[in-house]
Amino acid sequence: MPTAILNIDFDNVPTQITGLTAYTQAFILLRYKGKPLGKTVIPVSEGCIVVKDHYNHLLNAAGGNLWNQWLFEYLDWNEADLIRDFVPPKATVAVCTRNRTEDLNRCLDALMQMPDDGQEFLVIDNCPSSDDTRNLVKLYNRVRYVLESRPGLNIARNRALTEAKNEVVAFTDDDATPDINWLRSMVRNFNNSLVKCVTGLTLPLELETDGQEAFEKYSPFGKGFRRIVHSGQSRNPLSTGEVGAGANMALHRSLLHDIGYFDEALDAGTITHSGGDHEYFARVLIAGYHIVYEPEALSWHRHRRTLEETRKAIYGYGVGVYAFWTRLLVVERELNILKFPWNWFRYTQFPNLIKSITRRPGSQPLNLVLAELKGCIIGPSSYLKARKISKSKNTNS
Amino acid sequence: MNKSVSIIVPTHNRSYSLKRLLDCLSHQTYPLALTEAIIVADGCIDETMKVLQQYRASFKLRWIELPGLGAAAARNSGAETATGEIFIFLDDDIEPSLGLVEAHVAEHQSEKIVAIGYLPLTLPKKASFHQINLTSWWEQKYFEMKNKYYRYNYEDLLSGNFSINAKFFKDVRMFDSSFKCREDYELGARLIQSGADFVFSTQAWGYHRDESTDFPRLLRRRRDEGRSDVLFARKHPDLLTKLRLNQYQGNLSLHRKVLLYSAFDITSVGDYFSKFLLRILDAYEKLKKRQSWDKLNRRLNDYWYIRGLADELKTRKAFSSFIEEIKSKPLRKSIDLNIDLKAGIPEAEKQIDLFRPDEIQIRFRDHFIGEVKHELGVERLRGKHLKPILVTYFPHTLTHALMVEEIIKKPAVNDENKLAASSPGNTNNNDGG
Repeated sequence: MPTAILNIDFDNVPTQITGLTAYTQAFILLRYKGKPLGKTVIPVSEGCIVVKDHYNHLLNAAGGNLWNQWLFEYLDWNEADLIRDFVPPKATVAVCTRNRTEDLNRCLDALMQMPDDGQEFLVIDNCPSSDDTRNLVKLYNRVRYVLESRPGLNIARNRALTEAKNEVVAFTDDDATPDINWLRSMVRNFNNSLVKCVTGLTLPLELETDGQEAFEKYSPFGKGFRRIVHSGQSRNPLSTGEVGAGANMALHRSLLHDIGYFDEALDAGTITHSGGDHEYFARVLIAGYHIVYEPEALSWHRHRRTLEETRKAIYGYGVGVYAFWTRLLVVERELNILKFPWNWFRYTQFPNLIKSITRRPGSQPLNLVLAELKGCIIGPSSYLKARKISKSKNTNS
Repeated sequence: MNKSVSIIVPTHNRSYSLKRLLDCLSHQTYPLALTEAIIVADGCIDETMKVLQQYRASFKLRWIELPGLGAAAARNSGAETATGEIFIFLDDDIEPSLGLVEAHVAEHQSEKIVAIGYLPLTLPKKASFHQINLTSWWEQKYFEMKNKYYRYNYEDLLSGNFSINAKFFKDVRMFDSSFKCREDYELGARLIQSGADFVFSTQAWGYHRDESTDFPRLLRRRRDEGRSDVLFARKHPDLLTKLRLNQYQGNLSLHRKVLLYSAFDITSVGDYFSKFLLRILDAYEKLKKRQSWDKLNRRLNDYWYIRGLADELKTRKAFSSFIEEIKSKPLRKSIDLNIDLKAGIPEAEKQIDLFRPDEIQIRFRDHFIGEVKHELGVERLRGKHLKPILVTYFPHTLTHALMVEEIIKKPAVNDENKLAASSPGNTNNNDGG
C-alpha cells in the first residue's frame, strides 16, 4: 500500500490531515519553522490523521532537535551565523538531465521558488533524443540551456563545472525537488577554506508504488538530521557511501584545480551505471579537504516507480561501487581499497543474503540483494572497459 | 588612520623571502609616511645585508644585526629601537596582502588589543600526509578564532603575523628571550594574564611561503619544544596541565612507559630506532596506510618531545620530582560570579562583562543550570561567551528550567489549521509558513 509524504511544522501543527483515502500510512517530515528535525511514519485511518492522537509520538520523534530549536529561539542564537565577516560564496545551480521533461519541469519550478541571492541556473541537456528539454527550458528565462552531446552523467557534471560562472556549483538531479532553503543552506557551509564540498538531506518525494517503497527501504538517501563534517581524519577517506550523494551536493570549483574532473568512465550513461559521485568524494577527502553533510539542505527525490526499474537501479549501484573502487586501486593506487570488498560482503551483504533467503522479518527482497551482488561482480571489468571507451572517444574527438 | 606603525621582522638567511616582503610593504594601502620597518638580521651569512643595503624603500627602513640569538631576542631588540605606536610582528617568510597594515591598525581601538592576522594555508596538489595534518591544524585553529563568540587562550598568540600596542608590549615586558621556541605561547600566557583583548583579523592576511616540511627538521623542533616546555612549566606552573609533558606523569600506559624509558635511559638505542621508524613511516606513506602512519607519526613526535625533556632534566627521577615541585606551587586565585538568568540573557551578559569572572555558577531562579570552572590559560569570561556555553554545555538543564517556568511551551495543536492533503506527491509545500 502506498505511503503519503507529509510535512508537519511544530510552528503550526494541524489538528487533522484529511484527503488521504489512498493511503494506509504517512511518512512525515518533522520541521520547526521550515528546519528539518526528524522523520517518522504514522498510520492513516479512514483517509485521515487526527494529529492529537499521535502528538506525543511526533514530539518524541523530533526529540532533542526540537528542544534545541526552542532554546535557540529563547537565546536568540543563530547557528548559521557564527563566523565574523563571512559572506557566502555565490552559486551556480546545475541540473544534469536527459529526456525527463516531466521531472525537470517539477525541479525547475522548485528552483524558481528560491530567494534570489544572485545565483545562476544551468540545465545541462545530456545527449537528448529530442528538443523537448530545450523547449521546456525556454519557458524559464533565468535558466541557461547547455547542450552536452557526449552521453554520461559525469561528462555533464564536468561540463557544468566548466560552464558555471560562480565559485560554487550546486548539483541537483532532474528527478529531485529542492526545498526553498536548499541553496542557502548549502553555501553557508563554505565558511572554512578546507570545506570544498557540501551534501544535503534527500528524502523520498513520493512512495506511491511497491518499487518506490522497495527502493527507499533498500537504499535510502537520507543520512540523518545532524550536521557532520567529514574529513580524512574523521573517517576512512575511501569509504564515502555515508557522505552523501550526487543528487544533492555542492562543490567548490577550485576542486577542478586541486583534484581534477569527474571520471568520465563512471556513472549513469556509461556501462558503470553509478559511482561517479562517491569516487569524487573519496578524492576530495584524500586530498585533505572536508565534506560537510548539512541536513537543512533538503531535497525530495522521486524514486523509480516500477520494481523492475528499482532492481536495475540497485544493480547499477553494485556495478558503480565496484567500478569506483577499481578506479581508486588502478588510478589512485589506493591499496587499502582491497580490504573493502571482503568487509562489505562479510558484514553486510552476506548477512543480508541469508536473511533474504530465510525470509526473516525486515529482510530485503532476494532479487534486489542478488541484483546488487551481480552488479558487484561485473563492476571492475565494466570500469576497465568504460575507461578504454572513454579514452578512445577522447582521442577521436 | 594616523597612528605610526613599526613593522618588526626577524630574519635568518632568507634574503629572497625578505626582498619579497619588503616589496609588499612598499605597496601597502596604509600611509607609508607613518610606516617604519625594522629588520633584525639574526645570524645571517647569506645576501641579507646586501639586500637591505641596496633596497630603495619608500618607507623608513632600518636594520639591526645580531649574532643568532633566536627569534624572541631578535623581536625584542627590534622593539627596543622601534618608534611606532603600534608594533606589527611579521615572520620573514610572510607575503603580506596589501591591506595588511591598514587592517591591523584598524583593530587597535583600545590599548589592550592584540590582533592576530590570518595566514591562509593552501594544500598543494598531491599533498603529503604531513602537509594535510599541518594544514588542517592551522585552518582549524583559524576557523575557531573566526567565530564571533570565541574565547581566546594563550596558544592563540601566533607570532608570525600579529600586532600589539607598543606601550602594552613593553608593559608586559616583551618576549622572554630565554625561550628558543614556544616564545609565542609564553608571551600569550602573560598577555592573557594581563587581560589582553585578542582579536582575529581575516583582513590582515598574508601568504605563508617557503614553509619547510622536512621531516627530520620537524622532529628537531619537537625536541626544542620539549626543552622549552620545561622552562614554560617553571615560569607558568598554573599551566602545567595544558602542557604535553603533563601526559607523562602518574599512571602511564605501557607505550608511554617504553617511550619515557627509551628517551631518558637508552637514548642511543632510542635514536637509532627512531631513524629506523622514520623509514617505516615513509613506507606507510607510499602504501597510503593512513591510520598506521598517523599512529607511528604520533609516537615519533612523542619520542623526540621527551628527548627534549630529557635534555633539560637528565633522569626520569628528576622529571617526576620536577612535576611534583610544579604541582606544589599555589594556583592563582580566581574571580567567581553567580548569575541568575531570570532577568534575561542580555542582563546576564552585561553582568559578566562588568566582572570578567574566571568562574561562573548559572541559575535560573531556583534551578541550577550549570557551572563553568576556572580554566587556566584562557581569557576571563566575557558576556559574549555566555550563549555558546549554554548551548554547548547546558542545553538540557536550561530547556528543562525554561519549561518548568513556562517560558517556553510545547507548541499546541492549532485548531484553526485543518490540512487537506492535495494530490499525492504534491504535499511538500504545506509547511505551515
